[in-house]
Amino acid sequence: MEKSFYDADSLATILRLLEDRYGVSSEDFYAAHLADEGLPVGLTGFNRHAWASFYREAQELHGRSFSAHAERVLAPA
Amino acid sequence: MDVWTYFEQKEKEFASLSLEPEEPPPGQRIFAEADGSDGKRGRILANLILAGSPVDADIAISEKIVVRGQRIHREEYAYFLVIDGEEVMGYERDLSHSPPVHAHTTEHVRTPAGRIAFKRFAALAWEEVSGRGPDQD
Repeated sequence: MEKSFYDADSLATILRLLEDRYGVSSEDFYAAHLADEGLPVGLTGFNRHAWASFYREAQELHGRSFSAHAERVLAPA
Repeated sequence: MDVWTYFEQKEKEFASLSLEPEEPPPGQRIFAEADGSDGKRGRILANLILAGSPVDADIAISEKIVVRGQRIHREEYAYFLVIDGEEVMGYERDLSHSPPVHAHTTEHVRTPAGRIAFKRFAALAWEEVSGRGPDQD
């Protein structure tokens, strides 16, 4: 099986695709997802799940990349 | 155990359940490892066609997995059966919902449910489509 990988940039690309398709930012979508109301019209249950899941992981990966950056900057000389 | 061992198992499992991944465009893959995770985290995202189904049906699958020791943990998953373009049944583990594990009927109505193995969901999907031949309601 040929290997493939994803990272924060790949997830950002997926989020942009969903944002364009449904006409709402991922932040607004996620707030509606949590509130269980105000979701984009036509959003399927599967796409809702995937969007929320990708959004959470994108946030997580951005956090990790900042931690790695901070670790490097704060490392002893 | 790493995600690639699991992905290979899933590939075989899909075939054994007569589920054929929709052919992704060249260069795209249904299995992917999280970069920098050393094979410990990954995702599956695919539409699996129920090969030989009497109706147009597929299973949309999303799994976010993490390797813990020698075991695979499905941190999040969603399995939805789509017939003629409509979601008719779904099971999810979504960490932003309470409880995280639940099911959906048509119209995305949420109902309580326990964790479900993908193989079990596929069996339910086959059961559902088998009663929906082209000449039946």
